[in-house]
Amino acid sequence: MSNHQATAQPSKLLQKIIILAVVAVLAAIGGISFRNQRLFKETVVSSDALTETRWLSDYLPSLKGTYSDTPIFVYDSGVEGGSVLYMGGTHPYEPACSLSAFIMMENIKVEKGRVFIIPQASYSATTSGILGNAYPVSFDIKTDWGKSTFKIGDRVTNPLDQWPDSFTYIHYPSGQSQAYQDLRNLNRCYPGRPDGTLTERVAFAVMELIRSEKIDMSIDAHEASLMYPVVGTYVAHDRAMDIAMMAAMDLSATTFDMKIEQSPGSLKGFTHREWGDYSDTLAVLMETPEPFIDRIVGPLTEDLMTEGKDLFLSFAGDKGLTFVPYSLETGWPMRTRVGRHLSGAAKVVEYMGMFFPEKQVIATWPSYKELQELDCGHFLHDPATADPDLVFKI
Amino acid sequence: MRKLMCGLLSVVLLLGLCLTASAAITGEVKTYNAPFLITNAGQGPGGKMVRLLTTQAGVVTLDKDFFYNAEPQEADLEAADYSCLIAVIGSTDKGLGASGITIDDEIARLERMVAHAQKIELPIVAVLIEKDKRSTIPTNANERCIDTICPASEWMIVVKDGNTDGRFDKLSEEYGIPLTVLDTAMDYTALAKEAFKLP
Repeated sequence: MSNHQATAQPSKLLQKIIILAVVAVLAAIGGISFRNQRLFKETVVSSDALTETRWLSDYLPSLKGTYSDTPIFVYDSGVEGGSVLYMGGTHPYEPACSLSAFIMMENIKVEKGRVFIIPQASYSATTSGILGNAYPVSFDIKTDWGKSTFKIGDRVTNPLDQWPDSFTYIHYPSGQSQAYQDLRNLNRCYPGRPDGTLTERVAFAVMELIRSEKIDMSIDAHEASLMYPVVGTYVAHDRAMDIAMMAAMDLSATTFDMKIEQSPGSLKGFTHREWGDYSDTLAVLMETPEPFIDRIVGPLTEDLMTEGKDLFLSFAGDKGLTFVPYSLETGWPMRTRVGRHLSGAAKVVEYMGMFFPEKQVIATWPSYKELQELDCGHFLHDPATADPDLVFKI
Repeated sequence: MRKLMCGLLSVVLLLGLCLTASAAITGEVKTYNAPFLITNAGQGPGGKMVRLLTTQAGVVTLDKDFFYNAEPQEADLEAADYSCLIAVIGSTDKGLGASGITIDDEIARLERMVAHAQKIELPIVAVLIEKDKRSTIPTNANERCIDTICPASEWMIVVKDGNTDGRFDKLSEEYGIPLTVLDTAMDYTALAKEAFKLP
């Protein structure tokens, strides 16, 4: 062994130790970030119309103690009428949906019938971001009393809770072959099964809620990229088509453009298809535009999430390649997206009462116009001064 | 059933009140006796929207005075003594592929439908009620449906925002086809009250 070789070996060892130490530090920093997102709770101050809080595990006990158990807020007027389910957070990387549910919860008044709200339907998916997509874990909404922070989660169940993915996903019970990663996508797993994967069990529990509570209308809120044709749209189950068509035409004539599509019978696993096929509910899905999830946008920043302004997307908009209008000047801010969901839900509930008087639900919450005028934060209440019984960290 | 009828009636009354106050229809209104047939051109939801709005006009009754068929074959056009075929233009954003057909299949079907309607002298009314069913790209599915249906029609009805580029004005001028413009899709109900009569 030469002297040169003898001195080189300790040097290489030192290099390896340094590299390992750097990797360990980076892993620790990343791990802290992942852990913080895993444990972060959103705060909501319910309106005093709240009558009961339940859990999804009340409808499927095997969910208890898992990251997929999620609260259900019940607003019962005590006056006989219909019932409505409003669900946000199927895909937590579409956060205007959960935020619309929170704003609904904070301000709702119910005069007739019952309203059920699930703000974080796919709770496990709120506990991570899309792996490989570098984006903020949360965004802030300015309020009249400070700020409130909300999560930007994933599209699918956290792999910590359901893993590994199989090479193929065969939808139950249709047997339809779907993309393998959709095995963790709640909106491909309906009607679910009680002994299936965690995501299928969540789907089954939601179905059980709809069936056992005899929910007349079920609304699933989503956001979509602007280059996806089904954006700014209701997608309705066959039995809900007349209601959704009237709501879409009414909104388009009076408030904002809203399209309508009928749920294709051959697309399995979706809320707009399976909720209607496996229960008596009138199933409607809503999509509002979210530039943040368009493939061509620049940096995925908190501003892009809240304001929806992106230069690259504006080029596509100028070329007519977006399925809703897009300009850099207006973007698609959170207040517009949340407002669309709130008025979109109100309108289908209103028409359900016209078509089926026995199913009428009379409930109010902030409208699109109010959101445009006052912004989201105005409708969020200060947990520090609220009745502690109405403050929830979820 | 009674409750459903009450509900529908209240919708009709409410819409009637709204429409009386705000209906905005520009252009000639042609008239047709029942029965007539409504169909889609592009498999979008427009046909069902027109079916619903026609029902709400309260003049004619679905499955008695007028009928809906999403994909009529040649024989279906002769199933009754129809006064006209209302072809509602608009491709589906969700389901053409899901239906297992392509836009080429759909255009071929529409061409057969138009040819047979012309052969049996069944007037075609072209309707575009969804303003988003337009494109600046000539090969777009909606534009191809317009190209297939409109030149063969004897009346075109379109929502204002679906004609911002004047495409239907040009078709009207080129083929001498009357054009009626609606402010919004909801105005179709008021139009249907004027256009469709019991024999």
